[in-house]
Amino acid sequence: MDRSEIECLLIRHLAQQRLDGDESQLTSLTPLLAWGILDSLGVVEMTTFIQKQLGIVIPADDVTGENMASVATVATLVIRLAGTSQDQAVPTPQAVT
Amino acid sequence: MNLADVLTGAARRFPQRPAVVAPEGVASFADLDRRVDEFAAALLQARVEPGDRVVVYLAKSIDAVAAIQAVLRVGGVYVPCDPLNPPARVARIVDDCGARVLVTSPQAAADCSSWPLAHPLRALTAESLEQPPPGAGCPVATPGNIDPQRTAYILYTSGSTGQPKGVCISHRAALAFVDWAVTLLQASPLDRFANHAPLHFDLSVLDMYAAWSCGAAMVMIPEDAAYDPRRLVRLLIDERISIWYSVPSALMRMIDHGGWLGTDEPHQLQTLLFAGEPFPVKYVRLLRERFPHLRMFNFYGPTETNVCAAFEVKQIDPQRVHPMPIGRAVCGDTLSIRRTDGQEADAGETGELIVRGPTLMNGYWGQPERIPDSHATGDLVRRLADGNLEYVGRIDQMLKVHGYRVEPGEIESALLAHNGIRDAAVVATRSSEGTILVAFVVLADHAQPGVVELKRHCAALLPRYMIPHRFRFVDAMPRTANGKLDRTTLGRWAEDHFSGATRT
Repeated sequence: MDRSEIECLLIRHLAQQRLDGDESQLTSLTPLLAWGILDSLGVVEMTTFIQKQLGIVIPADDVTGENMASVATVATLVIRLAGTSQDQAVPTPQAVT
Repeated sequence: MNLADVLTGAARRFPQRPAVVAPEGVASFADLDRRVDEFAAALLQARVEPGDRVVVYLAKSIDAVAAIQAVLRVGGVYVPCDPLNPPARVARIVDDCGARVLVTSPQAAADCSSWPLAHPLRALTAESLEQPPPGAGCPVATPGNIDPQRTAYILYTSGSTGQPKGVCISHRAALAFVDWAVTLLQASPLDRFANHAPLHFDLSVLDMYAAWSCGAAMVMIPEDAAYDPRRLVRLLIDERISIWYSVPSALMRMIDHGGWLGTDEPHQLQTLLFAGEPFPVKYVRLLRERFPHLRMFNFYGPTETNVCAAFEVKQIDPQRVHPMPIGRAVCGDTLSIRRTDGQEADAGETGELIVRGPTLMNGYWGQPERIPDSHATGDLVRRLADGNLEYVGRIDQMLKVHGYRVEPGEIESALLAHNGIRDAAVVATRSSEGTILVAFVVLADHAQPGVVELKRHCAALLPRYMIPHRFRFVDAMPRTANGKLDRTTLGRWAEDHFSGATRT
């Protein structure tokens, strides 16, 4: 998966879980924490989603305000973790529900 | 004795012990005392005089604590602001309390010149202290004549009319609580108090002053750690926390998502304190089973009275389904229960909790400064057969979200400031995510602001914890027979929609 696919996946997840499906104004740069789109429970939900869909475990120390700031920063983190932990590109998800 | 003496006393008795443990480092009492002097010298140079309000708008850090203490040291009144507040709300608080000095980050210091304020505001930053002003390095003596009845700090809470309101707490009221807590906790300089609450939230008063009164360290839990409950559990263990005080929602996340109860690593936790909202008994039971020797206390008290009641959780009746009682009066306060007819309630009868005693506030900022005789909490309680009080609910619309007080009126007036919104009402409901704020919105003709746009709008005006979690668009608000907004129906709509919304 490349960056834009990861971002699409995250945007769809957030819109479904947090915005009643309204994806229209959510971009990869929308501030997630500052605008109250993600709170601490939403972060837990999203990291669980990333683990299930992409097989990437986000270590607790990486769950920072900086890394969770936007879809783009989360995608950067995912790509970095995929590179270090598995030395390969992010696997394609099995099925997106 | 005033509140500034807590730190100066500890600096004299325990200069080398850690006072604040923070992500950026450890400050001993002597270090912190010096840093406070540096800030105090800068405040004096900015002509802060006894009684002046100084707003502190900084992320949790050693410097934020030093700035707060420096304000006390020069006889001022500190006004800690949520670092997650949008500048617009900080500006309203600065205006409301008439502060002329703001201690803040370089970013906010650069921005605040454009805030629409009634008075000129001078911004100080920790960074600007690196060139110590003339006279710095010399200890700054607290004016010896500070009347302990005078206000030491102002905590702003949500106001029902849309304007945050400032609760003025005197040195004496804060110390009445701190002294009681010190006696209860019997802590030593080896103890380590977690500071989970933000500095603008009154739970942090215990973390700071009760810890220092005993020569113990205050271990800051950074705001960031809240995003991952696994980090909270790690901090609890790695930082050898012995006394933890927080809202139950944080503990619930640590249990549900942080793996707290599953870890076998040795920990130092002796005492667990919680306050701010009811703690579902199933969680208290899990903690009691997992940590049979842990002392646990449920504290109760609105910002206006600080902690005025406490209940020690020992054995838990297996039949119990209600949250733990809030207990009995503490800190020398007296509690009474007033029925709607004004009479004192009998055992078992529900009424409004009235608090009298030494922890009471000096009133709200902007009203004549005098100690009210009593404070009507707006909380409905009843007295159980064993004399303990039990929380029943609210008399008004005030909501609690993760321990924070939220007046729906404040959110509603922010929403109505959006030109795409004709009408708005906010309720809280329980969902699988815990308590969430649901905003019902009637849009203006032809307006189509999306949810993201409405959140952006709220984020510019409200603290982060007041941004509605969810929005529902309706054609008209439900009204009662006499035309008033029908919040009961809204509450039911929210419950119908969200109680199982994320259970997939």
